[in-house]
Amino acid sequence: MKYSIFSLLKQGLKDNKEWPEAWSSPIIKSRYDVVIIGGGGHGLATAYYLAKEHGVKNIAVLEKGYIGGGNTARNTTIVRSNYLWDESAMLYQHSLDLWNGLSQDLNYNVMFSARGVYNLGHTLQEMRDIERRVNANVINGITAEVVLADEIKKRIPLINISKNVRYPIMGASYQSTGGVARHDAVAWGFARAAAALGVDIVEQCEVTAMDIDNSKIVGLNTTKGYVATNQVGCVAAGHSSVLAEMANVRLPIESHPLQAFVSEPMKAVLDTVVMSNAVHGYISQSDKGDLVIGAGIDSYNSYSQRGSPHVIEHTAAAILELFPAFSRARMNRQWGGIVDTTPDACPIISKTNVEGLYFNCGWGTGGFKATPGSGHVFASTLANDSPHPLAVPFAIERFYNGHLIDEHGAAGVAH
Amino acid sequence: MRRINPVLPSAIINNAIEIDFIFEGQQFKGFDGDTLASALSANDVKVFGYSYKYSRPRGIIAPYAEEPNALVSLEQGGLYTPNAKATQVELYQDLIASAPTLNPNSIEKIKPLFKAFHRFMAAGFYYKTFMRPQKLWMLYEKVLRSFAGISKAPVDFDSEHYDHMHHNCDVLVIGGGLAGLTAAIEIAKTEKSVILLDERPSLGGTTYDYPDEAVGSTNQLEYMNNIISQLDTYPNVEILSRTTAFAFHDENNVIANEMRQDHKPLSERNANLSRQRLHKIKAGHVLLATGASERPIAFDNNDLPGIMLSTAGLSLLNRFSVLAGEQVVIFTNNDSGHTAANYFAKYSQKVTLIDTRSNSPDVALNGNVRLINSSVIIKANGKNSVSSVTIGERDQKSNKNVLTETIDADLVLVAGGFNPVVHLDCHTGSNPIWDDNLVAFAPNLSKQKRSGTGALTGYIYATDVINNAKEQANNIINNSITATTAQKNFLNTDKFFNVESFGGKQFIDMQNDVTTSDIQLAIRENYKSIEHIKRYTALGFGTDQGKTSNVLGVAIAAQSQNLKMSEVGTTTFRPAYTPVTFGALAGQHINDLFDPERYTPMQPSHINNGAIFETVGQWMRPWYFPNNGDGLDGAVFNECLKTRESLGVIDASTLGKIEIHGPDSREFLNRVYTNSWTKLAVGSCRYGLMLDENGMIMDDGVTACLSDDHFIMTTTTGGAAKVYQWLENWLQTEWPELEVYLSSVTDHFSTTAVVGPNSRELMLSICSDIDFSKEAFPFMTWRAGTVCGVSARVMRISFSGELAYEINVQSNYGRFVWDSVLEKGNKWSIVQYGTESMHVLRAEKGYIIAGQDTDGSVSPIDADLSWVVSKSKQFSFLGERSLSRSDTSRVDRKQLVGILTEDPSEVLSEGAQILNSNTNSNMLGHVTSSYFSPTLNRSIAMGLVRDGLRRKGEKIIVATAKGKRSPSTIESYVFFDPDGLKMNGNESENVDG
Repeated sequence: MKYSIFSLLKQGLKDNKEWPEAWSSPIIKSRYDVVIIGGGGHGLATAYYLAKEHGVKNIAVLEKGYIGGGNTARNTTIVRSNYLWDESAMLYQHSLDLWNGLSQDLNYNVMFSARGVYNLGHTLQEMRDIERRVNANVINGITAEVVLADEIKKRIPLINISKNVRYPIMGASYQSTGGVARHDAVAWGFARAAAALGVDIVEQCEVTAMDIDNSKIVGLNTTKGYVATNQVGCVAAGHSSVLAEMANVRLPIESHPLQAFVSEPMKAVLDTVVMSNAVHGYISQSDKGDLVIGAGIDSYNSYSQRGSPHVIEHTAAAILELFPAFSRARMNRQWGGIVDTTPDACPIISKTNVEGLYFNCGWGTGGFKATPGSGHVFASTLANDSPHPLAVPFAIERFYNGHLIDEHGAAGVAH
Repeated sequence: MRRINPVLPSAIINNAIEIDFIFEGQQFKGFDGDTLASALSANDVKVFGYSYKYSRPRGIIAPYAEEPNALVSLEQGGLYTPNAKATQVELYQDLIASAPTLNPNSIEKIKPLFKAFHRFMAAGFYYKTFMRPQKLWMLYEKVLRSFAGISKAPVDFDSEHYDHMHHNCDVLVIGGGLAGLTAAIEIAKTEKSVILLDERPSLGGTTYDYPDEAVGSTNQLEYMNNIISQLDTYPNVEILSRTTAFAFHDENNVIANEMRQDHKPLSERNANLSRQRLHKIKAGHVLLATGASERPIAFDNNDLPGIMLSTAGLSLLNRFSVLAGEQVVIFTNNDSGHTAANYFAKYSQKVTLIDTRSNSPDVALNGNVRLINSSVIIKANGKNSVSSVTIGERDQKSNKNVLTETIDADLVLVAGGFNPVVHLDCHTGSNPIWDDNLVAFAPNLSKQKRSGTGALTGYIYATDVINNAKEQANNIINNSITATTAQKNFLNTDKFFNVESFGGKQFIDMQNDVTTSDIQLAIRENYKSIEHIKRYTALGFGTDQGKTSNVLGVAIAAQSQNLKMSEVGTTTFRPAYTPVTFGALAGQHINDLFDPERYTPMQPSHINNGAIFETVGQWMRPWYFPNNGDGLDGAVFNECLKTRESLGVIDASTLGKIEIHGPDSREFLNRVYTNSWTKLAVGSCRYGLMLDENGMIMDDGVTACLSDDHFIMTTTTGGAAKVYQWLENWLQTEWPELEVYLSSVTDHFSTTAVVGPNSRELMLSICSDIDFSKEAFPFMTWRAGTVCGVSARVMRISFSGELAYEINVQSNYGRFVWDSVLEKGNKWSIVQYGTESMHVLRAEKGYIIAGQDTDGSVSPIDADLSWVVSKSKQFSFLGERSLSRSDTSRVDRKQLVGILTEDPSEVLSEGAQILNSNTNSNMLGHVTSSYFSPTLNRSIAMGLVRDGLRRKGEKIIVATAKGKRSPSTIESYVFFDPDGLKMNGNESENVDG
């Protein structure tokens, strides 16, 4: 059933009793052409584009919990594409292009809201980096501008640009085309659209082993039985290295807890996204009225989906540096996800030395914004058994040949 | 007035002290000890607001922290508090409260206009529409956003402050009810240190709500008061009231927030006292005595004001002496409803008890109570508050209800059973388990050094609670913990959660207006996981975190799918148990204390001399000295020229300094730096480059050999901490065989660098015990001596290309030496300079700044620093292997070069991108450093350019976002004195290589 104002009215008149399942939950089959491991946004997007653009018919997405329950449900939903290096800028911009129009494409309102994103600079070196990034962005065709403190204050009245704080705000790079989206809706929208194209979405199904014969993948053992397949795309974020180990593939990935928290819902007061590396915090306000705040990663490795309290405390302090008035706002909920970080802070979209086994991981702290683009290029990579042109630089080989795409960028170290 | 007079003996209010307060602009009176909710209830206020989606009137339903409806804003300006739960707000003189959704100017007034559309606004309706055209979403969103939220956000600076306190204790007891208190006193007797936390202003938990309950020959209230007075005599017990344990982290780290001032009249708040205090408690053992909270039973129109949980009604009655209604109907599925009926029968003429169960329980009923078994409330009737209920008889076979009668009621109490407050136990990943005995989710208590007692584990009646608390206390004392829950049915609770709907709205989550049919719709649409249901319908997402709605939601999800409760499970309970202000989380780590601000000992002199400062890492460094009102450019011009002409001085104290001791120090340096340290003589210094594992420059600096096993390394200002951690990491985890000891001594020494052709003359005037002749004190060596009467290490090194000496003295002499140098230097027209001139001078000479000219993607070869890389070291150095990787060893990588504009007066902008031509947008690199050079009287720049080293002399275009295109040429990046004549005092000398 197509979602529209008309179906909403029609079904409303029937007391909403006849809405069909958004996606079906079929019995797992014994054989699939392609299996995607991981039912988060990236995995579901991969399946959707495989079915839609590459005509693959027999696809399964295996999810060990419920779909969209990992980092898709745990991030702060920021979407932007103002990356420094050409390789990442192109990939994230490709994704941003897909965000525009995604609701219509999926026929599911993912509430992509281009309310703009500010990346603040607090030191001369940060401002140099901002200039550099904005120059690179604009030449790459990405919307970006440098905004100075006074102008920021005009646009965001609550922000504190006083010179008498520890790290006064000097300026920002601003991407007006960035914003936020409704994270759960992204997973559900892709799931519904993929299921409509015949993709089997199997929840509560954990992969326990990989059946590899002569360096070729031939099947998977799962908690719901054996599945034969010759193509497997792993899109499991923080648990990617666990899957890789099943195939004796080594990934340069460390899994760390990353935390976030929200305030209680309050009337709208902040209509854009503000991020700051120097003080370590980022903030936006959801449509429900919660201030959504991202913290930094814990430095230790963990799969626990829980982080340390001092990180939350520091982040609250950072937010008060930017928005002192929020001192009396209250944290309603905090949570953690497990992020898969790579040495160069860029993803791995790659074939492996096991034929038919592919990985899409390493998105670290910033994967949500890439969801449609990631799925799109990974689907192409799987369908053609050859990397999508935008995915070429992100192959695992870069960790062997040194062709890193270091998005840590200028770390702000100075004499 | 609904206050019972005389005040009930169990009540905690003092009717001798009247309190005036304002709610929604109207003046009210309450008593000392009241909450805002109890005082307003006493004044017969029932409506506290209108609901979020359907704009329905709502009143209080819960006794305390579970309250989803009665949310208020308090006070104004810097004392404003959003979203306070009226049931938790302690009344004080002149309190000003408002209910956000009652405000006549609020958006709420237009919400009823949407009434006709409610049937189209089921769960998740917004996912199905507002899609076309895309551009209009921003408009739709704006409207949706204006509807959302409860209180306004605070917009003023907070007038109060917060702090943190750390504790260690043997046993932490969370919850000061009968169970917690009983256990605490048992443990206190053993001299173990005990901390007891309770969220309410007065200890005792729910004993006030059930004061008559017998304990031996006395009642539980007296029993408890006796324990509290005993506890006061134990010095090993610390009791924190108004303190909510809101987060339970791994390893028994509990975080609690103490409300220290919110209960006081504004005039009595002490500005020197923190508003709230975050207690961080590390406990040997945690005993959870968090009790149980009541859940409702869902029926049509169950959200009408006047319908509340039985515990809420009992709390008003017995704790606050407020009889919230005359015609009382109690709807129960367990024995607690009978207890409630007995309390109300003492004061109400008419009490009707509707019990879903067919059998009468163990509780003897007061004769005034009319008991109707096997029945349910089918729906509540009324406009702005409940006026009657329609009841029906349960047909056990069909599970349908047969409408029987309508009963007038102005107070409906719902007793749907109790949920143990498992939240804290769950914070550490310990999932609650459905317990069919308790008809509730019980705590798992699976983690070590943790146990539970009281209602949390299924003990309700005072005698059982006391026995269990003593047993658990003894288990802790004897270190024989066994997690248990009561093995008998919790109050004979019927597994009954909701009444079959008669077509009205049945609310599960009142704050988010989630109805039974919303949950059923979610399941119909395959949002079946309880987490999906939560996210699709917003069930439990409110400020009450679903305390009253969660289990009901699970029950409806289970029924709709024919699943067991255990198969559905719960959503994850996350901190905070109740909301915590950002201010409390941050504590004192705000403003100046957000991050330490570091100054050198010379700072007062810099301020006296008018320096403008720059933030570098944590340090504040002079950026430039605007003499005579010069701006940056004028100051830098003057500083650079005078330094090159005669003499300049810069405070270089902020550079990181690490002492390296031990017999393997040389080998250690060999491994962490790219060049060889084997032969560096005592008294000499050497420049070193540090690479990361990828072979990329991460830091640089000069290291001096103090003795054969003792070196002092300098790092960049911003990189010091990272380098220190990096070195320790390698030393401790990878090379334990090396006997090397590191100590950070950055702030032990201060460094005054005198720079310029007259620096030797100056040194001769302030130091008589060092031979400054070129032969005795060559470039890249250091000498010990006495400078300005102070013991010093003088290093002859240069970051400007000039003859220069760095005077290192103990920090406490730093300012004295600096001031003395300025004074003595007058003879040579000394000029002090800041980081900006330092940058210009070093750029003229072609010295890199790690972090500005490099960005983690630049190898020493890329930076044209191959001369620092030794190819013949015995042990490999960090990053060496990576240098040979195919991409890293490419010859056409981005490389550091000089860039000169065609127009010598044009200064390129740092961060500008480099293109081959105006028509080709392929970026080859970027400008890393760019200045106007006073010495060369033209602009200079450094930049990273693809294949740059081989392209010297070629033309490029430098481009910015604003469309500026500057024709330029690639050059060597050493613009000034490439032969090093000036640095060596105009004489040829070997530069250390």
